[in-house]
Amino acid sequence: MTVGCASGLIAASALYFSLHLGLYAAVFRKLAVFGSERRILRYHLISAIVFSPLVLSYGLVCDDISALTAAVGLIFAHGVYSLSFLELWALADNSYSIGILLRVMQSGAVSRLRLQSELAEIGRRKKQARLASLSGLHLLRRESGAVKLSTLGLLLSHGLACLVWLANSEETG
Amino acid sequence: MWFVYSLCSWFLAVTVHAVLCRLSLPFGTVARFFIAGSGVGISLSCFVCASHGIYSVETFSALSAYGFLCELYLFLSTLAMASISSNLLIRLKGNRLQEQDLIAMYDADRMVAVRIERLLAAGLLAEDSGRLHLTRAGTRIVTGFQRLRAFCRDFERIDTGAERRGG
Repeated sequence: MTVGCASGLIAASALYFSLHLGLYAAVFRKLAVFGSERRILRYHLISAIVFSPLVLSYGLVCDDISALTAAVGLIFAHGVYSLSFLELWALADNSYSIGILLRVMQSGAVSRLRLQSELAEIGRRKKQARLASLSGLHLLRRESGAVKLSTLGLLLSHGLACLVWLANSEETG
Repeated sequence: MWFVYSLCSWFLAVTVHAVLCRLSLPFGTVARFFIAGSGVGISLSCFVCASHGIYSVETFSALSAYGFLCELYLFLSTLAMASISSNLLIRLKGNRLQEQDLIAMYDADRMVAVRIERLLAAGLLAEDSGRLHLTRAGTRIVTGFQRLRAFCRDFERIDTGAERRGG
């Protein structure tokens, strides 16, 4: 009985993940509204918000520690699935490095200086757009032409600096 | 208890990664984390399989939790190193700057140069007398990416097809 409860939950969740991915592959990827990062993020966020309490409730109702353990493991498995999906989707959407590789592929061989000057303009535009977006997310405060981090932005920048320190990376961006 | 094993293993993987990043090795940051994460992950798998059995829910949950923590760390770590937004946030830490100064500080030419250096170090680009070209690995990556983009952005193909038929 106890093994059946946990394995039933795992089988049902595997079916749910397949349906979630299958629905995107069969229907949503053909819709232009699913071409935005926010929409794709929401597709996975809603799924996680619905899935997590459902499997936890099932684990609690089963009154079996194995089912509860499986439920927590399945929430992490949903995290692995959603993160992998979002990373691949973002890579396909607009990666700067992939843009550089594509530009080199199109021209066969290209001078480094020419490539730098061509792509720097995209960088300039991206920088302006990111400043506006960080300000929209309340991570920055603009005061009479000056830019300052908000409390949330300061916390986030400390976290990011810690990750950069761990990876011993000298140059970011 | 399985979650404690996963959490400790993840801490160990991050620590090993930090050490590997300070050694002179011919790999990029992501490859270094794959080495650290795989090594610790294999040890965790052996440990939980020996403690709970291969087909137990504890083994499944411990490996799922470890996999999720490692993927999240790698995602945030690459984001912190490569994202423009992250660079802007780090530069602003403890500073109050004029918008123009901030944009000027983060030179767009340098931004491209850093990425080219990373692609050269990863072996996706090669340079011969100042001219850049794709390596075999680079060509494979770009081809894979184009397939992925065609899959994820299928609506672009549908829209283009409809436009052609319409006009």
